[in-house]
Amino acid sequence: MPRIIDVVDHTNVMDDELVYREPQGGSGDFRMGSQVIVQESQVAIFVRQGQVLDALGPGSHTLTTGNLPILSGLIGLATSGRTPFTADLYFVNLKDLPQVPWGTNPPIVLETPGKGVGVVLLITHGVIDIGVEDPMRFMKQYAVGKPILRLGDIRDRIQSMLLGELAGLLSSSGAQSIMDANRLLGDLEGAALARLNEQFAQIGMRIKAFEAKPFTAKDVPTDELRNYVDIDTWERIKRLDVANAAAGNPGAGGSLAGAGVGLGVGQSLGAAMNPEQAALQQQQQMMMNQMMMQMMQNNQQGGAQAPQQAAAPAVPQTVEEIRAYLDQLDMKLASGELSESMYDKLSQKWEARLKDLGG
Amino acid sequence: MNDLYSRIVSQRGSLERLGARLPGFGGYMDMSARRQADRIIREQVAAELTQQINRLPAIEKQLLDAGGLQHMSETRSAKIKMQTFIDRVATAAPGYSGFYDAIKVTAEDLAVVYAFDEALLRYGDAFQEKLDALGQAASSGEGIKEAIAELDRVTIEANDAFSLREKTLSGLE
Repeated sequence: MPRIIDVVDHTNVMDDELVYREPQGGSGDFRMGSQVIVQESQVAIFVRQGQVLDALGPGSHTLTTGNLPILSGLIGLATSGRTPFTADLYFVNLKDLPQVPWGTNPPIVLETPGKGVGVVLLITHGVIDIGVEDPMRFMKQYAVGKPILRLGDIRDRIQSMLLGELAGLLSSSGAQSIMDANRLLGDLEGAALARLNEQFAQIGMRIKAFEAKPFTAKDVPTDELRNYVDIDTWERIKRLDVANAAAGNPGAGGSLAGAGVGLGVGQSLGAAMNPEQAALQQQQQMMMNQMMMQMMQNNQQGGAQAPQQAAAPAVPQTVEEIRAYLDQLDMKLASGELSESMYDKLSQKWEARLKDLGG
Repeated sequence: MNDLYSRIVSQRGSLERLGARLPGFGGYMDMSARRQADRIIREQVAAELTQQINRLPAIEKQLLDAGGLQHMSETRSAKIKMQTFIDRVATAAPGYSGFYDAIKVTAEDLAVVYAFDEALLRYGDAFQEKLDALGQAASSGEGIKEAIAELDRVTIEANDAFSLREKTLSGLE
């Protein structure tokens, strides 16, 4: 003899729960006169033989042919409306699920023509506010036949929608660097929200908010880069990688000039995924090369001209002289004329002096 | 009272006017039906506003397709305020002790409440009007910024009006 469900409700809703079936084990036996209690922000949907039928809104409902017109139509002929009938009852949670985390995994590839290796891998993360908007549509697509549906069950679907839209918007935004992308972040968030609205509606959901943290560049091993860039770009990266390995070889980088070249290549690969930093490093590299050239010229021209060209006198007095002296210390350390401990000692002393002078 | 309050109260209509727009609304005279009346108003307003806010993504998409990414921060800001207004209207507790538990509510009090209820409905019309204007601006590519600013202004005013309605209701003893 079937156990008739006289009263059914679902009050203990988990934070990430979207749909819950009563009873959990499978179909239940109801009859006209059974009571279904539906909480605020819930809808109860009857499903029979895989068909999504009638829905009940918030309140206490006594089942009648009036509030279950489709279901009673289906079962009416066989039972005359009096005998128990079997159905699944699903409670759909309509509440907003606020602060649902999302992240760029995999990263978004942004093309940066003429900068670095031509692409940058962007990563970011943030939160979205989502919820079920059209319970019938949502049920049909995701929940029928399942005892419970939680956010984690459709997370991949949501994640792919978010990333697809964000990547598309970024590529059409004209952004060519991380800074560009971050400057457009507010607009990108708004645009993503507008576009995602339609996609979420298609699956019976709504998205109310879309927030993202500023973009950063992702560091990945060279081999992994192959997953994100075209073959030409990847081969260029591999060549840089080989050059970088060569630059790291003490035999090749023993001389000052060799060390400079090695540093340049190494930096260009290291910053390949971060064009702004690459530009900054390139500028620093040029300044360093200029200083080295000047130092070598001074050595070649002998001691007669050296005092005139030297930026700093034997005992620096002014802020400018101290700065020039500190620059010379850097070069002496780089060329091996000065030990590291002596360099530390002198630079600390003159940095302190510079500070005293307000420099 | 502030300008918004004066403006809303000066535009007061009648129970009949409200009833014409709200099927099933019988007014607040019968104390047992006051919460129900309040709920009918708010559900109707929330439903009308939801229809309007659902139009915005299509307009935003139109703007985006025309290269209007730079407008998205502003449209999002307006949309958030609009959504806030809808959520407040839809989820406010049905009833305010000061008003609903009062045994005697004068005709004067009720006229003020009806004025605010009408104002809520008018904001639905205002959103429709501003969204129409934004849609036209998006099509023509002209006056987009101004149209968004107008929409934003109405969303701020609607939220202020709802706050005033809550204060007015709770202040009626």
